[in-house]
Amino acid sequence: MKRIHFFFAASLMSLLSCNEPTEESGTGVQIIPDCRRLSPFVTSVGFNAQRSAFSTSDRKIKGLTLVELSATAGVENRVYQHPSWKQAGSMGPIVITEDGSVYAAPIPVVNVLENDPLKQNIIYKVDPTSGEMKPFIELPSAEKPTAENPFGILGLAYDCESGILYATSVSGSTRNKEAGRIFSIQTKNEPKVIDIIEHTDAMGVDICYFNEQKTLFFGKTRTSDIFSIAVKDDGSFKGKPVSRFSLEGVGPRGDDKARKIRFDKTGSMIVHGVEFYYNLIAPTEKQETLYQFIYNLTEDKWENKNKGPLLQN
Amino acid sequence: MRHSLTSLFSRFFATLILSALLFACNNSGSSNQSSGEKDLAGTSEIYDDTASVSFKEALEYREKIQAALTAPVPILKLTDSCTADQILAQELCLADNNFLKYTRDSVSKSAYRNEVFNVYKARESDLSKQTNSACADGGCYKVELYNFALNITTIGLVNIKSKQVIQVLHLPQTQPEIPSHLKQLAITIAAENEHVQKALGFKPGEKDAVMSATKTALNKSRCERSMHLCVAPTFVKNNKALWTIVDLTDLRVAGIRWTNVGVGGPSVTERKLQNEKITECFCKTETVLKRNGWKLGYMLTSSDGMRVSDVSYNGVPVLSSAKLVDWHVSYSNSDGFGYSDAIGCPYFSTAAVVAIESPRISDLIEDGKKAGFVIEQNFYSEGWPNACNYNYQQRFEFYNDGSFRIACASIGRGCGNDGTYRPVLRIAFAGQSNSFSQWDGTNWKPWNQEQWHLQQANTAYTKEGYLFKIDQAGGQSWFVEPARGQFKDGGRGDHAFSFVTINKPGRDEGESDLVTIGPCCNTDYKQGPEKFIEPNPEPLANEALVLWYVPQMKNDDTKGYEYCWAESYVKDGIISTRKFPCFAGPMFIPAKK
Repeated sequence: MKRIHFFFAASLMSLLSCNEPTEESGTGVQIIPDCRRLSPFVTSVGFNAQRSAFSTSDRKIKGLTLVELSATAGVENRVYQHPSWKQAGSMGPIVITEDGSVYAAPIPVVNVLENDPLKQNIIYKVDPTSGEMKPFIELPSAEKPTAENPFGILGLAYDCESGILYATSVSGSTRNKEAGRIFSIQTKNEPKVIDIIEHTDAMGVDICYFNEQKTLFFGKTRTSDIFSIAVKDDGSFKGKPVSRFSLEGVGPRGDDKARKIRFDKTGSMIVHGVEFYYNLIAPTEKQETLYQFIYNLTEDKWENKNKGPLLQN
Repeated sequence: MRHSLTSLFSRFFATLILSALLFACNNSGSSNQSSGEKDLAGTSEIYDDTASVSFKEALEYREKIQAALTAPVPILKLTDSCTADQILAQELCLADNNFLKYTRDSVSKSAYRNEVFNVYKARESDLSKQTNSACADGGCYKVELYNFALNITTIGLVNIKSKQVIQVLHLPQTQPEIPSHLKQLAITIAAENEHVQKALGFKPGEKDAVMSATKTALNKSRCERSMHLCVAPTFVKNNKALWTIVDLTDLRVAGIRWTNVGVGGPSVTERKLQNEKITECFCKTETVLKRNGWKLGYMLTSSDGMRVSDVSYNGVPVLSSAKLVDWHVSYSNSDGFGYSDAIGCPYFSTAAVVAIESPRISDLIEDGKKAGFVIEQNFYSEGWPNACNYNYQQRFEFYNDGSFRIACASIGRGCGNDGTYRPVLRIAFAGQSNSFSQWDGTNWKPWNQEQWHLQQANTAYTKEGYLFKIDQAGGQSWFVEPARGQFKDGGRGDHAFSFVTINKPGRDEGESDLVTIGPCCNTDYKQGPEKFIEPNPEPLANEALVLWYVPQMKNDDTKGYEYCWAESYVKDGIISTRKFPCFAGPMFIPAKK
């Protein structure tokens, strides 16, 4: 059995939108339509877009890869990597936009040999036509990174309506000081930070309309809590973060942190929970658990639908 | 020679060592504190050395376990106030092969420790579309079986009217509600524990664990790393609550921690307790140790394992520091496959394999006499000894005659039987004007510039087995004796790369915490320290020097010849581990003036 580099690897990120419905009446949650589009270069390298996906979880290939799932049983998947896709070392979160641009961020896995601790707060962009990956924006850390904490950006989300990118980062945080930040970032025209939530270490992040207010949800990394904050049309944050619920005591480990948050077509929040203590442990088995939370509009609370992990058939 | 006097092997595996945990911040808490929850982290205590309890109730329970382990169906049945229907439901399940699927090891057929925790009439919410009709007559019961070895819950749905087992589910990493007799036992284990009594200032009774403030006597807890069944009896004193994590798999107290009563917060669990204790006591602060003429500081680093620093013997400075920078593990059957693992603190670190136990200090026993002391620290992957998980050990030996050894070991198990471990030890000598020389078969030949050497079959040693010599400005010299299988610790030789570099002030070449220094899989001298030598080696004369020592240990899983290896086996119904460490590291012997 091989040690799996699972932790932050964004599982395969499909290239095509699922055309999910935008509103679920009566749930209090309205999802923002998925706008992912095929990157033109995918077909130019001879990959079938219907069966292709971006990945940062290949155990033997560091960085970003494009995987074409085999249509035939027993035949290995095809994998493509542009020469520029390994410049950042191991990578983690990925988002794809309406023009096929891909945004991704580095995350060290097992060690920092190819992930310079001073370069973990850079978002990279893959050009949809040429496929070349270049630094898109370096996010400002509140504190200088230290040897205590090898991490920077941990989560990405993209608002298809506004073209605003959201990033969580724990860069500069230490045992004694929570110095992480959540950024909203302009992607149209010149890249620019629009707004920052200070002193907040977070990982998984996603955006939706919640009680008719555009709202960013994020999972904290020092506790198992899920928070939300209202977002204005211009991408700036409104008010203070509000604690919504916690993964504490839930699931096989009981101390999971939300690595990834996504809303499904029913308005449920799907949370990918992992162990996270700001170190580089890499367990053999994939220690990630999916949880499904549903908003109870009447009682104004999020309920764990399965009283534990989401049971998948 | 040092090794001719020793029986080091027995030191590691016999009970001669009187091991004691080092509690650098041994504050077991006070109920009169008015600290915030964060401050109470310092009250965490972990007990990896506590023996299983031996009072009457525990002994009786153990007898029942032993009887179940030798029964044809190795299951301890539920007998607490069971009705005839519950007994029938239980018996039906115990006759079902699927229900019994995980009650024995599939290969050795050894019995696991299994116990029926609950038998109750199935509620509507327990049924599904698939099982509704089979239970329409109201005769269905659920039987919950817990497997202590595999941490699996098996749930049987049985109809006592039709006498049919309707459904069996096996739920890994799941623990059912524990039965009343185990709740009672957990409270008794906690109340009888000396650490608990000391922390509280009195011996608690059963009623003390039942208090309105926390609603229940038995808080939920988890032992995430050991995968054992744990609960936390909680005792209140004044405005504080003492959580006691009781491990019901081993029947012992795993740790304690004070919390503020009435403050909603995370529950106290094994992993949180371990992380807090290690972080607060060994990662944030250095502990000074004076013993047998030696004085040194020790602490855990973010990525360089345990570091000893400012080591002196009888007042004479010996080492500036010594630590373990990286473990490089390569697998020969897969080109370029392996890992470069850092070891260190469990919380906020770049370590891939972390400390979960406190450092251990113990006497070094030679020929039945105390010859010095040893400091040891282990670092674990959480799934060890499963494949691709690791257990590394650092070991610092300090002898009463001024000798010392800086050793380390892999205890497997890794990703295959074709692995080679290359730990990178960094040993910085005290003093600003040292010189280094090597035995060439006739004389001590000085190293004039930074360089490296590989210990091979044709390497020349003095008749005592010394390879190098370090001369310090004050006139003290040290011989370096690499391991060649002579230390009786099971080691098969270091086959080490040795590098010497200058430790220049203002130029940090590993003096502070080093991030990953080299890749996993280089088989030559390029293990990382060469970065501080190439391309322009500097002259060594009269400089502060650092010895980088990189032993090479090839693992082996051959029966009876295991090395750098570990394997699981079933003992008393629980998974135990056989360890086959591969120790390496040089001995330093003071030259007589």
